Amino acid sequence: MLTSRQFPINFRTTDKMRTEMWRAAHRLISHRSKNLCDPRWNPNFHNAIHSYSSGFTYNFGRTCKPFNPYLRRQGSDVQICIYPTRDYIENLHGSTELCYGKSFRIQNRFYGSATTKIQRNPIFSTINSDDINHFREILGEKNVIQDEDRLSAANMDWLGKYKGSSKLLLQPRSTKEVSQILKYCNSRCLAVVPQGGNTGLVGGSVPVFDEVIINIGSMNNIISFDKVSSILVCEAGCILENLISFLDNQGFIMPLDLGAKGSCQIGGNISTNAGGLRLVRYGSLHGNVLGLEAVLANGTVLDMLGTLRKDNTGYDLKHLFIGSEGSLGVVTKVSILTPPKLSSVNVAFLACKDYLSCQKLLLEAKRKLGEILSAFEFIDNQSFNVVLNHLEGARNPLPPSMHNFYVLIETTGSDESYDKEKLEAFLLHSMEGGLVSDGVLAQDINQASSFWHIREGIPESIMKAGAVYKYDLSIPVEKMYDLVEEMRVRLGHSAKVMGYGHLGDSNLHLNISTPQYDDAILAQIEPFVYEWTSKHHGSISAEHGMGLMKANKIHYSKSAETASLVQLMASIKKLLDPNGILNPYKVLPGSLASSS
Amino acid sequence: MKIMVAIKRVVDYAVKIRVKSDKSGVETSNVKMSMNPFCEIGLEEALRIKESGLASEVIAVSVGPSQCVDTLRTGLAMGADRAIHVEASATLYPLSVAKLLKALADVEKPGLLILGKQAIDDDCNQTGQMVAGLLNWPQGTFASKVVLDKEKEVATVEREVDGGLETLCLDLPAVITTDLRLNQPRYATLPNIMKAKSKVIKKFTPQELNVDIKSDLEVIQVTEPPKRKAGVIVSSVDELIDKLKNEAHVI
Repeated sequence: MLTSRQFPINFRTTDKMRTEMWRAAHRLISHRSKNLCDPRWNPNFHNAIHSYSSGFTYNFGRTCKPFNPYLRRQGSDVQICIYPTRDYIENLHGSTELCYGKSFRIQNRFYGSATTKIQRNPIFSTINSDDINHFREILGEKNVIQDEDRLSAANMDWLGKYKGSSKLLLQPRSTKEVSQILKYCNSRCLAVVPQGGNTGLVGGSVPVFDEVIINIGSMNNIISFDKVSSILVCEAGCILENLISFLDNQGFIMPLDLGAKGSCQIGGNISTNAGGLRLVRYGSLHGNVLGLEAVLANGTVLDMLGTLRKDNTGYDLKHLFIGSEGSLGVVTKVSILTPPKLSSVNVAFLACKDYLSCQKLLLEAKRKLGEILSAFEFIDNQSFNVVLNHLEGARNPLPPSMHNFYVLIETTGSDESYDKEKLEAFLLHSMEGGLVSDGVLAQDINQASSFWHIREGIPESIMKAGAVYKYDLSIPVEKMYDLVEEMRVRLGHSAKVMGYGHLGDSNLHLNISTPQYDDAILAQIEPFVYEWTSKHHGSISAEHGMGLMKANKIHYSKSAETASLVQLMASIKKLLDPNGILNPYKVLPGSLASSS
Repeated sequence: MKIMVAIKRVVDYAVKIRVKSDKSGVETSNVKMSMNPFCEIGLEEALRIKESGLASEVIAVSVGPSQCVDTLRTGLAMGADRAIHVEASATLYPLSVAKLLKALADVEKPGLLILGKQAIDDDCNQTGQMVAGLLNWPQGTFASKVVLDKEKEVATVEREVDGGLETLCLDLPAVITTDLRLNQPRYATLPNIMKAKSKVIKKFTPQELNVDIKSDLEVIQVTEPPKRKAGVIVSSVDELIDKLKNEAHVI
């Protein structure tokens, strides 16, 4: 029972204030219990890892405590919550309207500059009651959502940077329903935003203005899995971690893995061509997706759901949709090639004294570990500190000294002793050669998970440390860290600059942490970061996509000389979505993508 | 003073266990094996005692098939000084292991014998107690804190029991079995892995130790627990009463 002592308000409260407090508390409790216990509330709860049933306490701004892992052996088959699921943090945002401002450590100030310049396109209609009735007829009452709390969660992205003002959330349960919705929206010229797990980092999954949100989370069936060909066919709303668990039972794994796996959905992964931690081993989704089913803006269902490993009949259209961020069509089903689950996984956590050693280590690893290398990540000193300070359950594998760079290497193979020998030989050789100053090798799965916990927990920890500006860049390996150092010099003491990422894929995640969002600091960062990347012929978005954040910045990676490329992209968009209703204001520059 | 730590090679605790199709046991081929977590804690405690200067040597011991050597190497990489492997390919039950450990303790004469409280594959929680009985040594099981006093030759052990914590004072030599909250085991660092390669693993067989490992127990069948049935949503109170009466037979 909440008493007035627990509110951060002066004890002498007026009656009115007390009623307000009570109302706020009541709303919080009912909001909380609905979101935790009622699977129908949260579009993603139903399939998210069952963290809530294991003694989890609802703490504002804090993650759930790591559940005692050994109790799991005593017959309970409850999954352990190790990372808070993204929808949990989303629900937190839903309660920001209440007076508990001080307890939230997550910054969710509306991220100014990019969006204020955009105007709502007047050709899009606004929703009226006829539209709502029509949707109710197609989907049924339950799946047409206008409730403020749920809309609030769906309108805000994971970072808390972008907030739309949509008044309608739709949850179709089949491709047919998606087709009907889109056909209607196209005829009425209603803008829509396809939404999956809402874990994107560039504002691509939330509305900018009042676009209708189409959440695919209810389409979460696994349609079939063929063990012989190792092809999985499932609907686009399946959560990645659920697919990984399902395949685990069959002896296979998903070809991609990312920190957001507890909440992200495969449709979203494909629409953004997600990269992740294992790209260095299994390649990108363009290679692993064998087919997909997508619905175009006018409701046409494109059935490209082949399950053939090789099919050279005509143009391979599915590649257009992979990475198009929902702007060409809504992905509703996917068929994906799954690699076999190999028994021998080894993880090593190493320390290097400088960036040059990290690079040389990468080359050596590719050569010496070769076919068994499955992940190569690097973390710099500042990111590591942030994780140790803010991530619950994080433990420094290499105490007591702090090193300049840390590298996480994972190998996956079929023969335990052979792999271990190979890895040990490589590590000892690197140590003797001075490339590695210290390191630890995980001796069991628990230790391996704790190393990954550190790497996967970096984005979350940075969020807890304050406001963050995130950049995801592809830069040649030799030059990668130069950008981080230049940014440090440029920003001085006003911000903390952190660099980490998929060194194996030349992908840097540059994060700049400040106590609050500050336009002055932003001006120092952009467009310098983009220009720098452009100068070194890198990509301003390696894997996160353009979304809203970089919609007008494509020219940094597709320069003026290749402007015709961007024109061609705009033509394709016009061809597949003439009214421009799918995810407007994003991906391509506004000047080109508008349909007028 | 020497400390002997018994460690067991078990299926890694994070692996999903499957029962073999012939129900004779658990699937262990092609499954990741590693050191029993409680044994890891025991070894960590031994290493800490050694580092505080109260012991001169830590010996890791394991009983089982030839692959146990991998687990012993991990123990050596954590910091144990030497290891002993008793090679036995048959499945061994706690009493046989206790007899073998007694034989080794008679040879090595350690001041402290540390084991994990139970193995995560059989959950027996018997070996430590049995070996203490065979050796006639005092035992402190489920230890959550161990403090050694060299001059008085005693170990003060705080035990986690159902009612709370119990503190015992044991004369050395003694047997201690470790519980979860005793410590957090260290990782195996690369320099230590390098050093471990040159450390000695001595081999014994049960015959050499004059121990009869024939067991009085035989596993007849291993089955999975029944799957949890899905919950049913009832539409009315009458239906609920009907189900409670006729299906569940509780009213």
